[in-house]
Amino acid sequence: MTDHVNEGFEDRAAELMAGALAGDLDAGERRELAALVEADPALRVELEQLGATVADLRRDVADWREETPSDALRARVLGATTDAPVPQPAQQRRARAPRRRSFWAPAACFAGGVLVTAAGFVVAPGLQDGPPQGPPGTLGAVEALALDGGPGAVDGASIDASLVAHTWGTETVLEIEGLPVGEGYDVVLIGPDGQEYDSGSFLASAVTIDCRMNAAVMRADVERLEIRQDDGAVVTAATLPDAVEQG
Amino acid sequence: MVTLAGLRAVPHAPDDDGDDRLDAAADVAPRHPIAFDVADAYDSHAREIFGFALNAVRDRGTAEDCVQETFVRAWRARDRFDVTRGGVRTWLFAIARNVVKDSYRRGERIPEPVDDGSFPEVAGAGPTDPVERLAMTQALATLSEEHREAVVAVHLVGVGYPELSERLGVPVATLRTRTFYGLRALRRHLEQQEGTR
Repeated sequence: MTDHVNEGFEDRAAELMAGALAGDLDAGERRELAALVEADPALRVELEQLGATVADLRRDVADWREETPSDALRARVLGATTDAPVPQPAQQRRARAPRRRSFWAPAACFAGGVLVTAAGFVVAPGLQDGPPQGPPGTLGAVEALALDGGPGAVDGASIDASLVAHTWGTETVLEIEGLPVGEGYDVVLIGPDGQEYDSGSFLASAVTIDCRMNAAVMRADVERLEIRQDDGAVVTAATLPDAVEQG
Repeated sequence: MVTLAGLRAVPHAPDDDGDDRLDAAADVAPRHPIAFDVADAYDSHAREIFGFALNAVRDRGTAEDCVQETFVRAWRARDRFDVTRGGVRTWLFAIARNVVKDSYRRGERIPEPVDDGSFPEVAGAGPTDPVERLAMTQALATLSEEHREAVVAVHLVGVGYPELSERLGVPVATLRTRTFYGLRALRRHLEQQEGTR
């Protein structure tokens, strides 16, 4: 619309054009819009442009879901974007080549340097010489888990798992070998009330997978860890001891 | 101090890997990097980025992963963001668009238009370019909730203004005006996107 029009005029023209675009004008309004367009050709141009926009909208978007993200997502994002050092499990605290961050994703899973997908992410900085020590739930302390095979257990597979309690949630550290290459697996933490917290997923690889994932649940609220096949069958699981509440 | 949500000025830092737009931008202009406050940026923009992702990938879990990945990539490339080349919202949406495209490629889930008979003029149009559909989805996601509500109701769902007025308790004139300005914002956003592709 031209610059000389006042706000009231513009709003009226806007109202009439919107009505016209929806085929919603009565006879009097159509005459009024026609007079406005006659007086200001820029209105016709804008009407035509918006008509094209409506056509493109209907062509490109079938419908619209108006939803909000879960509260847990905020914790996941903040947990995945921190420079805080992440201690290594004691059995993995050996010299190794520096890790590079994955291109894809929140994932911090590596299989011989090859990316594996995961929903969780934590930066893997330099190794620490002295991670915190303490009972399960101690912030930053590595808690080794005793895993038991489930209905989906795979012969020859080797899985080491540890947890690290953080102020923003619980990190799961995995070292995995021997699962069928290319198969997908989910890592889930479960609370005492049965509530499940997604930690992420990975694809099995021909080489050893070092994987770190996060769940937006405090360690003290976790009772069990399960690694499941895509069909839900439990490959391995650990029942966790009670943890101290911190943070 | 920068007034944009989620950002504050800091000294320049070395490059990190980021999205293509940032790479291109880095070659043509001096940078004015700023610290990226993830919490502030998330609180200001996560909802509309989630709306974009959800309506692009049509799955809540995947959409939340896309939002997380968007902020992770932004955080990794925070030293390379140039406030003089656009706001943090524009930057995050540029990253989100790439994340959604990656999601499509990973799952080979390029969505096709749904012809449910609601829009006969669409049926003859045939499949459109996924990038075009993504651009429109992004544009719609960036509208204010009031504008989007009116545009979606009138032009996607097909609700008449009188019925919508009764449903929302808002005068028809107000709803028409909201729709007009929503469509105008939609068009301008699409034009801006074309300029950055």
